[in-house]
Amino acid sequence: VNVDELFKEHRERLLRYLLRLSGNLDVAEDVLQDTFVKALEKPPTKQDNVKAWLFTVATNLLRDRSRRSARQNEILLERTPPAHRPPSPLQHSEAAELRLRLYRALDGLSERERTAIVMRQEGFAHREIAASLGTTTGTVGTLLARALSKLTQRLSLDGDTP
Amino acid sequence: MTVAHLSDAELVATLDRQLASRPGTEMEEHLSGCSSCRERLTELEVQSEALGRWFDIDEQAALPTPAPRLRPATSRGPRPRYLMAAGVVLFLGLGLSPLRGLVVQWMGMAPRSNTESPTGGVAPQTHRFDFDVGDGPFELSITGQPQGLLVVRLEATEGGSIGISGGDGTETVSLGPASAAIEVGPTEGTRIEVTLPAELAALNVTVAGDRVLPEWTPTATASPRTWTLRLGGG
Repeated sequence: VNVDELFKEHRERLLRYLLRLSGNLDVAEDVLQDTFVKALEKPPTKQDNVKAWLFTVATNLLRDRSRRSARQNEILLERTPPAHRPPSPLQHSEAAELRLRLYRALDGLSERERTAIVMRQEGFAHREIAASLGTTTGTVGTLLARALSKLTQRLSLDGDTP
Repeated sequence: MTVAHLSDAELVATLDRQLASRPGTEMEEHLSGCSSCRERLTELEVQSEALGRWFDIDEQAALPTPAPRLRPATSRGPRPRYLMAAGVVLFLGLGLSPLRGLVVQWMGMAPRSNTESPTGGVAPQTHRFDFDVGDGPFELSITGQPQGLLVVRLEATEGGSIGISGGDGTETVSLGPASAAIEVGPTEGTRIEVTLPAELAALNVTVAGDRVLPEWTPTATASPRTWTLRLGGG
């Protein structure tokens, strides 16, 4: 496995995935870095599903980090602008507000629910999500249904949608 | 209809076309005769599509380019030898393992979404020093406190290899092409020890940073075996 190529191919998706799970850009970047250090130290031995391996490593590293330190309550999707610079118009746009609502809603899920729904969004099969969470596909279905139900309440998925 | 209602987990599996605990034919048979389960499946489908639109909005937001950041190495796994010989510039020292340095370098090489400096308009700066050196090791000391990360790059003007050690001295590497770099974090009093082969007569030292104060002007003074780079305006 060429880790350099792996980085180029998956960096952006993995960073966004970690951002959705953690809600914090600094944390996401740190775990992204750790993930690829791990990939260099012990590259995946099987070629067939490198993407699942990479996302599982990242998920576990983020989980380990969360256990070591309390989850950061502040949702930080952008780099903090310097104090002397006014916020850009983008930061006040409607899309930015909607993004923040999505991340707050994700933040309200349990860690396993959040991982399941975000991995599903990345296109992983239920068996891959189950392998990553160390559970069964049946439990994954339950987690996904619960996540959808909670997000429906918080984002009005059955009514006011963007 | 002969089987029990589908659970939410089974309905989500059906929605996502995934295998469930019950055979698909059995669930299809139940769905065809159960309006209540069909309604719940439709409800989940609507919610799933709506959530997809929320994720689409997030997808459209550009991700910022990750900022390379240095943290102490946390593991000491095997290091592939090819990395050492590849001639890539490694970021070393100060507790940064070669592998982490490589990842930091990749992250730094990722396309930038904008050219603005993280400090808001301070242009990247590069200062270059050319030194004549004789045989044997010498010491490069950096004094003062940078505002952010600096990259000190050493390049030999002739063939040969350069060994650099920094921080606690645990990281030393020789590179084929005579070029090596070390990142210096915002810690005062960093010392970098440089070992040069006897045949090397000259060395370029480049100090670059994009998070430094505009008035930052490093100066270099040399004693027989020690060079000092002074950071800051003084």
